[in-house]
Amino acid sequence: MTPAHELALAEVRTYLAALADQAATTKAASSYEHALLAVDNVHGDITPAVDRACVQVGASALFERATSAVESLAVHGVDELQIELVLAMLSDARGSDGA
Amino acid sequence: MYGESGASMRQELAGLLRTERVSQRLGGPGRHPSSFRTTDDERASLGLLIRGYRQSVLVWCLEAATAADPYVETSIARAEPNPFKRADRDLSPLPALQTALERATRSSTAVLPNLEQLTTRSDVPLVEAWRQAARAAVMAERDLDGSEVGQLGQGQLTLRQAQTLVADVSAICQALIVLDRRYGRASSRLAVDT
Repeated sequence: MTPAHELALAEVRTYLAALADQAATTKAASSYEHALLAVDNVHGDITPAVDRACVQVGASALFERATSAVESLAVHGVDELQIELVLAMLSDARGSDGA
Repeated sequence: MYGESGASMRQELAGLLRTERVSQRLGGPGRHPSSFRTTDDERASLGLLIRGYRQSVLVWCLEAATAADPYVETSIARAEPNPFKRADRDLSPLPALQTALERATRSSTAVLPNLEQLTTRSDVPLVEAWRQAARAAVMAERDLDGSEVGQLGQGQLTLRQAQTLVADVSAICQALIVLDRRYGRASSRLAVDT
């Protein structure tokens, strides 16, 4: 894994974890965590650390950032179908989060 | 070769997952991303065609899940049957997937596409993407029959190959489920609008 890929992955994990932390219900938090698990699974459980400092924004902005961060994984050779499936999970989680 | 057909199926399904506003892409009412319009009847026949293509992909999923482990048996001791749980909930993941796929394939009323439908290019990009996915599924299905050397016939797979195949099947099933739900939501929105 290249450093750029690792950075992009850390960003995705950070936003997904922050969304899970801020979720209004347990179900929504669990859905965001499922998306996070799917990302980890795609990367063979390579799990760069979550950076909690950069996520002091609202849920909508976090969702936008998480979406574009997941999309950016395509540049690093992540399978497009897996990316779309993670995006679908993210969108479902957002739906159950009352958005 | 399975690698090519599998990759093509994944690519087309990824493209379909990126597609929003399905009804409009079939020429339905609303602000148009496409330049053509279709009548209700035309959209209904396009829908039937898509259902047939979807069925081809589903059939491939079932055959691949069966080929990955034709004689699934677990050595793990079964728990005492719970009368409040359905029997299939006690299965391990692969047999549970096989059972679910078998049930979904059997209960679907969609008709598999004929050779002409599989080989004729459609002018509607959404239908064309489904056709390509179904075509790749049929090609990949041929690799599973095991009649030729080097193909992925039942019982001929190494553990690693079987694991890769199961991962492919589960990703493609997941994509089909997401698409089913989106199309279901789109049609109920349309029903509310009209």
